[in-house]
Amino acid sequence: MIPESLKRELKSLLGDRASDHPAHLKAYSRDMWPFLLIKIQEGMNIPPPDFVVWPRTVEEVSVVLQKAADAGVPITPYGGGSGVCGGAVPEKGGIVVDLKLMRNIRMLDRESLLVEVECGYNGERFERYLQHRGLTLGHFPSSIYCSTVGGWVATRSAGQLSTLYGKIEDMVEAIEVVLPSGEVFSTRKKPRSASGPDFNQLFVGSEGVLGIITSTTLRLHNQPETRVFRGIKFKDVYAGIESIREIMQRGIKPSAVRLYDELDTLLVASDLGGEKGEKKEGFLKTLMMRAQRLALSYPSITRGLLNIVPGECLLILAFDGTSREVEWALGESLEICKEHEGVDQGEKPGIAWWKDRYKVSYNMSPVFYGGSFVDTIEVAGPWSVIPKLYDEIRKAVTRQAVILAHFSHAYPDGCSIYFTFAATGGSGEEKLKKYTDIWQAAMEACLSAGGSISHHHGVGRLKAPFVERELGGAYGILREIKKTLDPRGIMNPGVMGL
Amino acid sequence: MKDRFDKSTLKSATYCTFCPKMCRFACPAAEFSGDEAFVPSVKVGALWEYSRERGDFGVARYSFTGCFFCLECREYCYHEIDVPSLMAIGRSIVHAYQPYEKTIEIRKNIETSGNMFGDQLAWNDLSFSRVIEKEVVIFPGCHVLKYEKEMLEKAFAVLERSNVNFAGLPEEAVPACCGYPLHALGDIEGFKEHAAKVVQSLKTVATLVTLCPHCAYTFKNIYSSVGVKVPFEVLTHVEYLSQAIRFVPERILHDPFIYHDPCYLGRHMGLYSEARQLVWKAVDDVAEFLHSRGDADCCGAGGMVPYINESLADAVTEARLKDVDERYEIIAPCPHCRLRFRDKGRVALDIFDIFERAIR
Ligand SMILES: Cc1cc2nc3c(=O)[nH]c(=O)nc-3n(C[C@H](O)[C@H](O)[C@H](O)COP(=O)(O)OP(=O)(O)OC[C@H]3O[C@@H](n4cnc5c(N)ncnc54)[C@H](O)[C@@H]3O)c2cc1C
Ligand code: SF4
Ligand code: SF4
Repeated sequence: MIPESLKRELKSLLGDRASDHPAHLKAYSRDMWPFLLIKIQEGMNIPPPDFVVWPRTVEEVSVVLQKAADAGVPITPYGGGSGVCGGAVPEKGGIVVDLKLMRNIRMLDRESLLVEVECGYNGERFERYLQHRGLTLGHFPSSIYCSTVGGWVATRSAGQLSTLYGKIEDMVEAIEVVLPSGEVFSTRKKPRSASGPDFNQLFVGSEGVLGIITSTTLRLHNQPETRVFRGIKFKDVYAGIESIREIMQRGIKPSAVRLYDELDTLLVASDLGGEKGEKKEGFLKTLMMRAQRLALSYPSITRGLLNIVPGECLLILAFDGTSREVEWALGESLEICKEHEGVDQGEKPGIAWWKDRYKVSYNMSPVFYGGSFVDTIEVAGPWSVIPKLYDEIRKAVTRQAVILAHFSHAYPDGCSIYFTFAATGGSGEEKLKKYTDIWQAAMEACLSAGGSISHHHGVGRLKAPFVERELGGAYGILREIKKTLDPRGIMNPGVMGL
Repeated sequence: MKDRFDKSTLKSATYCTFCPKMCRFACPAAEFSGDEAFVPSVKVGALWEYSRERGDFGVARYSFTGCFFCLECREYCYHEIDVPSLMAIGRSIVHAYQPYEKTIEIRKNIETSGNMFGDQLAWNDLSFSRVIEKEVVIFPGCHVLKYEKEMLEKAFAVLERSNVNFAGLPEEAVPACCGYPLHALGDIEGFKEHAAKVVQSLKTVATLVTLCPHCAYTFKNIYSSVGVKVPFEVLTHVEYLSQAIRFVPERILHDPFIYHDPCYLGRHMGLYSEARQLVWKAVDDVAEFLHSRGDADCCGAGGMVPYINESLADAVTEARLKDVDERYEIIAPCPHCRLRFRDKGRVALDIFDIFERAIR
C-alpha cells in the first residue's frame, strides 16, 4: 500500500504524469507473461499497482525513488511491458515507474560510433533514427516494435542478428542508473578498461532489482554495404547443428543463423518458400487452427502424427559486410553445409524470413483466440550439450504440450535453443497448473542437461525458483549486492527471487 | 452488451487483446503519451472485456479517448485489424452510458446550426461568383469554413483560373458538416440522423468535391456503414485538382516546404502520390518527414481527440513537429492538421494555397 500523502506529493511533483486512475492501474498490472494472459483469458484477478508515474528526467526518477525508499513502497520499473517472464509485474503493488517519456538522444558521436540514448526510447523508432543517418545498432529482437532500449539492457536481450552484432550486453559502453537511494550512478565511456570489475555489466540484466537504468551509451555500426541470405535443408536437426558449429569455429561470422527443427520447419519455415511447404502448411493449418484444442489436448498423439510426415530442417544464414566479405563467408559456409549433406535452397527462404522476420510474434493471438495458450523457452548451452539439451527438454514437455524449436544466436562455443510450446486445458486453474508444470519440467530438464535457463528473456518471476541453481555461488553475492544497494528491498521485489 | 460483438468483431477484439502490443510503436497515442492504457492491444482489451460481460466503464471511458482513428497501427498488423472500427464501438458504449461532455454540446450545435461549432458558417458571402457546372459542387467542411475562409477564396480563385467545373453548395444544402464528429464520439444515432439530412439536401449534386479528407472518408465509407446511401460521387480535392494541374506553372516556388500525409487522405484512402504529384508541380523541392506515407504520425487532430483528451492531442502534435525545422512551411491537405500545426505556431498550407501562390 502507498500512503495517501505520498500520492499527493507525487501528484504535486509530476502533475498529470502521476496517476491512480483505474485505467492506469489495470494497464500496468501486467506485461506479456503468458501466465497472466491465461488469467485474462479466464477472467481471473491480477493484482494492480497502487500508483503509476511517468518521469521525464533523471532528477524526477531520483526523487520518486528517494520518496519510495523513505516510505518503503515497492517500485516496478516499466519499459514496453513486452517482457515474457513477469519482470514488470507489480505483484506487491506500490508504484510503477513507466520510463517511456525518457526518450531523448543525448549524444551521437559519429567518429566513435557511439550513441547515448535515454531508456524509454522505443526500439523500432530508435533503429529508424539511426538508419536515417546511415547507422545501425544491429539489434533486432522480435519485440523491437513493442520494447524499449532500457528494457533491452535490463533483460540482456538478443536480436535476430546477434551472431554478428552481439547481444545488448556487448553493445553497452556506459550506463546511467538511479540507485534505490535516489543517488545517480554512471560509468564513463571507454572501449575497454582494466580498472577493476565492469560495473556496466552489474546493471545489464539486473531486471529492475538494483535500480532504474535511465540512459545508456551504445556501440553502433555503419550500415552494411550488403546483406545476403541463404537457405539450406538438412535431413535432420543434428546435421544442421554440426554445420553451424563448424561455421562458427572456422571464424566465419554470419549475421543470422536460424536452424528450424522438423516441426518448426513445417509450421513456420514452410512459409519461407520450401518446395513442399505449401502442402504441409495446409495440413498443419488444419491441425493447429481448426482442430487446435483437440490437437493440443493430446500433444503426444499430435507429435506422433507429425512425426509420420517426413521431416526436413531448414537453416537460414545471413551475412553482412562488403561484397567480397560476404561472398567468401557464404562460399565457405555452403561448403561446410554440403559436407553434412545440406541442400542449397537459394536465397529465397532467407529473403522471405527477413521480410517477415517479426511475423511470428503475431501468432500468439490466434492461439489464445482458440482458447489455448502458448509460450517460449529460450535456453543456451555449449555445443557439447546442445543435442542433449534439445532432446531432454522436448521429452520433458511433449506429454503436456506440442513443442517445436529453432537454434539461433550462435557462438564458437555454443548456441541458444528457442522452444515454442502450445497447450490447452479445461478451467483456468487447470491451464495455470499445466503452464506451471510445463515450465517446471522444462527447467529441470535444462539444468540437469547442463544448459542455462535463459539466453535472452531473463528471469523475472517465472524463472525465479530456478535462478539460484543457475547462478550457483554467484547468487549469494547477488543477494549481498542487493542488500547493500537496496536495504529496504523496494526495487521489483520478488523478481529474480530477490 | 454482447450484441455489439458480431463474430468478426469478437475475433478482432480477441486478437488485439492477446497480441504482444506489436503495433504500439506505430500508434501515436501510445507512443507519444507513454501511457500503456492507450496501447492498441490494451484499449481494445478494455473493449473485449465487454464481450465477456466484464467491462469496466471507468477504464473504458478513459482508454477510448486515446485513439486518433489514424490507422497507423494497421500498417504493422499482420491480422489487418481495423482498430478505429473497434474504438468506434467502444465510444458508442461510452455514449450509451455517460457520453463525453463535448458530445452533448456538439450534438446540440449540429442539430441547431448544422455544424459542431454552433456558428452560422456560410460560404456564399465569398467573392466567388462564377458557376460553370452546377453538378460539381465544392464541400468545404466545417473546419475550412470556420478557420480558413481565406484559403477557400484562394481555392475558388484557383479553380476559376483552371477552368475546371465547380460550384458552391446549393442553397438548400445542410451547411458545413458531414457529421464525422458525432460518429467519432460514439453518437451513432445522432450521426445517422444528420447524415440522412445531409444526403437529402445534396440530392441534386452529381459530384461532391471535399476540401477535407475527413468529410470525403465519411461520405465514402461511414455513411454506408450506418445504412445511409450516398447518391453522388465523392472526390477529395486532391483527386479533383489533378484536372487543374496543367495550369500551374512548373516548379516556381523555392521556399522550404515539408509534406505531411493526413491520415484520412493517406492511410484511409490511399492517396499518397497523388498529393505529392500536385505539390511537386509547383514547388521546387519538398522535404519528407522521417515518418511519412503509411508511417506518417497523426497530427493530433483525428478521432476528435482534441475535444476529449486535449493533453494527449497536444503531446501528439508536439511530437509530430519535434524534429521539423521551424523554417519549413508544412503542406497538409487537411484543415484539421493545419489547425493543429498553426496552434503550435507553424505555417501550414493547403495545396490550394500553394497553387494560388504559384499562379499569383
Ligand atoms: C512477441 C515477443 C517477442 C520477443 N522477442 C524477443 C527477442 O527477440 N529477443 C529478446 O531478447 N527478447 C524478446 N522478447 C522479450 C522482451 O521483449 C524483452 O525482454 C525486452 O527486452 C523487454 O523490453 P521492455 O522495454 O518491454 O521491458 P519490460 O517488459 O517493461 O521490462 C522487462 C524487465 O526489465 C525491467 N526494466 C525495464 N526497463 C527498465 C529500466 N529502464 N531500468 C531498470 N529496469 C528496467 C522491468 O522491471 C522488467 O523486470 C520478446 C517478447 C515478446 C512479447
Ligand atoms: S491491431 Fe494488430 S498489431 Fe495492433 S494490437 Fe491489434 S492484433 Fe496487435
Ligand atoms: S488508429 Fe491510430 S491512434 Fe488509434 S490505435 Fe491505431 S494507431 Fe493508435
